[in-house]
This record gives sequence, C-alpha cells and structure tokens, in this order.
Amino acid sequence: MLAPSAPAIPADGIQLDRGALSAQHLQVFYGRKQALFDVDIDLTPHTVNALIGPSGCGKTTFLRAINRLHDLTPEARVEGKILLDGIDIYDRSIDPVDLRRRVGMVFQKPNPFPTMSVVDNVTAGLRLTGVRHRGKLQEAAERALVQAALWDEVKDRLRQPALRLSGGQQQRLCIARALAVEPEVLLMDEPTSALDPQSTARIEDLLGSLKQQVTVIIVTHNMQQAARISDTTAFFLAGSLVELGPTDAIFTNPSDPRTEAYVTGRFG
Amino acid sequence: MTARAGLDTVLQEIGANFLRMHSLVLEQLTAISKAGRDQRVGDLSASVRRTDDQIDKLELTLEDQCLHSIARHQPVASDLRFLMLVFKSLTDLERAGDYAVHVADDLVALLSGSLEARPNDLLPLLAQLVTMLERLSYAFAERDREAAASLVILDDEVDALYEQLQRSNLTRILENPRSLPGALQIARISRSLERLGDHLTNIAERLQPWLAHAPR
Repeated sequence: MLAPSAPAIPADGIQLDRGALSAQHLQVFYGRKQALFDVDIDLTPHTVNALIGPSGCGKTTFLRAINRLHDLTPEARVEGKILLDGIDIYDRSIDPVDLRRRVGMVFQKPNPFPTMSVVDNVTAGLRLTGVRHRGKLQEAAERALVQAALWDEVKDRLRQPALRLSGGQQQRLCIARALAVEPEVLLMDEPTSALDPQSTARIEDLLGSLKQQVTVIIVTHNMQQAARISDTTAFFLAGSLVELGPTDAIFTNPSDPRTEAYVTGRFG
Repeated sequence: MTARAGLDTVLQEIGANFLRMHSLVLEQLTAISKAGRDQRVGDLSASVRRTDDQIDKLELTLEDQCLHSIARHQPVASDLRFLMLVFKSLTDLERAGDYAVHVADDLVALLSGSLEARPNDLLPLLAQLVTMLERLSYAFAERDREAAASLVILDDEVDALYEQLQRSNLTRILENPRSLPGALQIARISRSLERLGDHLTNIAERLQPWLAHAPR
C-alpha cells in the first residue's frame, strides 16, 4: 500500500536539455493521398505548444508522426525527419516501443485499462519496460499521480478499479500513466473535448506545471483553450503549416491572413 | 445566425456608433465655427451641451457594447484589436466633446460681453480641427492609413497656429492693456482647441497600427 503522505518529487527537477523537437521537410501519405506537406517546425523544450486548424488539416497526422503511430497503419508513409534531442526518430536504430516511452500520448477520450486498479494503470508502462521492484513502482506511481494533480483525490483508493473514477479523473489518470515512464514529450490529442468545464479547467491548470517535466504538444479545437494554455501556437491548413509563433502574437496579430481568418472564425 | 455573423453584426454596430460620436463632435465644432464667423452666439452653449449629452450617452453605450461582445464572443486578432481601438479612443472623443463645451461657453462669454477681442483669430484653428475630424472619420470608415497619418501633420499645424495666436495675443496686450480680458479669453479658448486636437491625434495614432493589419 502506498503511504498517503508527502509525495515524492523528482530530485533532478527541471531538465532543460530534454524534449527539443523539430520536424524537417516532414510529409505523410496515406496510400496515394498526401496528408502533410513539407512541414518544418522547431519546438523548444519545456513549452506548451498548441496545434490548431480545421478538421482534416493534418494536425493529428503530425501528432501521430511524432511517436510513430503511423508505423501501425499499413498504407501510411512518412518522409522527412523528426528530430528528438537532435536524433531522427525514424532512424533504423530507433526502436518505436522505446520511442513511445520517451514520447507519451493522451487521447481524446480517457482510456484507462478497464480491468486494472488506479495504481496498476499508472505503473503499467513501467512494468512493460521490465521494472519489477515494488518500491520503485510505488514511488513512480505516486510521483506521476502528483504530477497529474490526481494524488489527493485517489490516494485513499489506489486499489480500486480505474473505471470508478470520474471522466476528468480518468483523463488525469491517463496523463499520470504517460508521465510514469518519464517521457520527454507529451502529445495530447484534444484531451479535454470529452470533459465537463470543471475537469477541463483542472487539465488546463495541470499543463502549466507539466511543462516543467515535458514538452507538451496539444491538438485542440478550442481556440480559447489554445490561447489560455500554450506558449506557442501552430496553425495547420490543408496539410501545411501556415504559421507558427508565440501564442500572444497568433491571437492578437497573426502574420498570415489565413491564420487571421481562422482564429477570428471567418472560416473553418 | 452563425456565431461569426453575430459578432460581425455587433462590430458593425460598434463601428457605426463610434463614427456617430465623431459626427457629434464635428457638429459641435461646426456650430462653434459658425458662431465665431458670424459673431452671433444665439443658443450656442445650450446646443453644444445637448450634443455633448448625446456624446456621453454614446460613450456609455459603446462601453457596454465592447464589454458584452468580449464576454459573449471572446474576440481575437483583428476583432480584438478593433474593440481595443474603439474602447481606448472613447475617452479621447468624450474629452474632445467636453473641450467643445468649454470653447462654446468661453466664446459666448467673449462675444456677449463688452470685451475687446478679435474672435476671427480663432477661425483658422477651428477650421483646422474640423478638417482633422473629417479626416479621422474618413480614415476610420474607409480604412485609409494615409488619412490617419495626415492627422499628425495637421496637429503640428494646430500647435503652430496655437503658438502664433499666443504670440499675437501677447503683442496685443502689450500694445493695448485694455485688451487683456478679451485676450485672456481667447487664450483660454485656443488652449482648449489645442487640447482637443491632441485627443484627435491620440485616436489617429492608435488607428494607424490597427489599419496596418486590418482586414479589408
């Protein structure tokens, strides 16, 4: 049983040298259809980066390319490079499973493992990587739950089934699960679209502190959310990156008229 | 109605009311100019004050409209910059209206009394301010950057006219000390007009960067 006492905080604190991500001439094809066109992007470690754009613009395709989820789609093809801390993640020497430990992902709907308890959900990834030491697993679970701002709510019911948690708690549990393996980058695909406003606010609050541990890349259709939570915003349209800039600039004085039209709701 | 169409309607109403405020200040200045030119004040004070009441009411209306459109539509980019432009400029226009009231009152005092004065000296200043207001309204309505930029030059000319008036006033006082009360009244009026010009320039200076990025 985990002690519901003072949470363990990582001793190393912020690691500014991890989580730099850049795409170079990135193109993604689904069969003969091209979904991403020559995307170049540089993201600073420990920032929250919002990807915005109308449905089908390529933002989720871009997100999935970052942890090589397209490998699992037979007709999908990726060209160009994605560098994580300077190393191309599509290099033959890179193991996709190892990569997905470094690049975590949280999806639109909370997807905890239904048969597992709260704590087992959080440590599932660690156990898959071979960690067996009970103390280490407990410590990692506690740390991840604290980072996901869920610890206080679940510390007394860690052995209960994860499905007994509310939707918002389940989503934060999924964030804790992703954080437990200490990734460098956290990808979030509309993580609050299935949540009520209060749960959404808790996740948004969480993002500000999460960036101390990881570089966050979040796809959102909620323009106000992008404006509230992100440091930089990238606007995608028809498979191309139209504009990437500081969020303040994108939402007050965007450079490209297409960005202006989109954020003001004149199209899309 | 779509959300975008709803915001567009509100922004159009705000733009129209903002222009209406300009027109009202212009009405005040035109009435003052006419009284100065004809040297007949009639009910100038009361009519300029009535117009000022309308300006004050419009200011409150526009404040409400800006506030509600921000609360309801959470505007960004050019929409937000437009609202900020209007919201910040309201105070300048309202102050311009107040200065017109001071000018009207002082002109009435000048022309109604037995003061030795030459109100014609004020006419070039008044004409310049009318031009500034017309140019400002045009720049806003037609999204014309050049017109907005020209206001700064016009205001420099207002300042030069004001200085010139102060100097000639002083000369007149030295030549004829009995002209002092009238000259002081003229100095007060010209000071109000000069300040009025500054408020119009404030708006023009805000308008220019907005026009540089405003969607057409």
